[in-house]
Amino acid sequence: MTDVSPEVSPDVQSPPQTTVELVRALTTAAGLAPSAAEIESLAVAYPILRGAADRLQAIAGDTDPAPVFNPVPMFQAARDA
Amino acid sequence: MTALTITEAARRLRSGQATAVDLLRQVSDLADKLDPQLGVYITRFAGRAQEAAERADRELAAGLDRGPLHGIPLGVKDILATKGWATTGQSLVNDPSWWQDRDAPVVARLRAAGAVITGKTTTMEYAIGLPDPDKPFPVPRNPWDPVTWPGGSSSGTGAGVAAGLFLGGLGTDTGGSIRIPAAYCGITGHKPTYGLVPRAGCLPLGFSLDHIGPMARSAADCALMLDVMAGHDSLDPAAQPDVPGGYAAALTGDLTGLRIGVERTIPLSAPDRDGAVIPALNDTAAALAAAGAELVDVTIPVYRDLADADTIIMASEAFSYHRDMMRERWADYGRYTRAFIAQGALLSAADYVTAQRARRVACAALDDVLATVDVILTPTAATAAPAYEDIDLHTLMAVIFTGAFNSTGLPVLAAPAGFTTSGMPLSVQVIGHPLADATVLAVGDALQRRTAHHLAEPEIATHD
Repeated sequence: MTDVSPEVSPDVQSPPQTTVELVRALTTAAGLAPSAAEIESLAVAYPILRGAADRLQAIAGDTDPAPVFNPVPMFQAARDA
Repeated sequence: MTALTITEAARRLRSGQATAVDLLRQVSDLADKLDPQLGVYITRFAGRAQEAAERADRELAAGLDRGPLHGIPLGVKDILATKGWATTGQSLVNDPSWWQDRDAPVVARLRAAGAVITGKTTTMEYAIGLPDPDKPFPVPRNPWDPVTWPGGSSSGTGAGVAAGLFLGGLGTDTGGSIRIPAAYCGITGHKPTYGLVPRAGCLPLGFSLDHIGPMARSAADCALMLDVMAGHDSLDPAAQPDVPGGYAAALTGDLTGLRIGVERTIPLSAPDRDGAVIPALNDTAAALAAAGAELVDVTIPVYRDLADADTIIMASEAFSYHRDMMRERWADYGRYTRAFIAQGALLSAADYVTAQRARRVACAALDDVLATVDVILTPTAATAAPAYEDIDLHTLMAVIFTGAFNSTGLPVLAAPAGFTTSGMPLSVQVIGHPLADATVLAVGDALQRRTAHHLAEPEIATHD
């Protein structure tokens, strides 16, 4: 057995305290119980997620709000064309 | 040394050069030697596999030939149900009685085709995250260099095929979980068109992004498996009602008349640590041109949008499935799995619906690109397999170019494309039109008739 640890690299970023508090509030509201370190890690992820969600808001435009992706009729139509 | 493919093993079985019991003994001996180091298996089906191999030999001797998978040893990712054995999902949380009384339809199809299921392979817990060494499950490692990640989440299947512990296997793909381990382990993996392979009996990750597909040495082997796996099943509401089939029969090696769009801009979004990704893409394109294809440059302007949609939708759908269990058993989840899934708690319902709406816009924009070509060629990842200690949890998906194509539901093949100067595998993706899985596989097969990267074996599998 190799003796190299499978541990991934630790977080080196330190998120703003306001983001940490927001993440704490959201996870608590969802009924989760992450540790302080886990909340801090989620707070590093949060701006990445928020940025992705905001970019998608910008391109969604006035597309109909179909909440469920259903490619079956779409693919069949493409195939029959 | 070159690796044994399903195609070659099937030939040997019919020519009398080998029996199914011989094949099983060969892969089992390798597993005895390598699995303690590579962490490929969660469960090995030693007795049942032996029975299946003996039955396969009896049937072939009696003239009953179930097709190319008859007598072939295959591994199954441990989020797919196998009758009589618990499916763990590599998690302490999963109910061991879940689907234990029956095979997932895709597993049942492989058994009916005579395949010998050798066991259940390691995954990232519930197909997401990274291995938590504090949990009582094997940590999968890459046979090309065991300090590196084999990719995930179909880690055990990828590492097992690469090391010769079985000749093919099942993976699942929600953001790249077939294609990433295929890329990092130097094998071939196919994410079929969404709904082509029914997902009943598979632990869900992202309901609208999940795919089940074959992983093997070659595109030809993947085609043989997909011929058996594809088909409607009423237990999956997203299953395609009409499946084209004929995947292996479509492999001719001739790409005359095929137009391939080469996408070179996606890799610019992430650092190429090895400086080898674009040269490998160019070499692949040249090999495909030699097979008769016409090459044109294309750009996918909505690549990032599609990748963003995959991220938001996966986090939301995964959290929807796991929320109650995470409330009750937070500490039983692995640390990296709960870190990924809990991201769903940071998103709103509006974020999820918006992501689905944006997904439709981006898919339509990609359709415009695909209208000009038959397939698109682009790298699978920004680098070869990283060492575990070099993985950055928060930028992991940014150095992998797979998730965008889960948003589209399009068929995608990941195929070996060469090696870095340090000998680690590189990979390209071939993205096709809806239900054009046969075309995607034919491109991979044509490449592999002109290159031998897919047959290279890691040193660990060839040394006594």
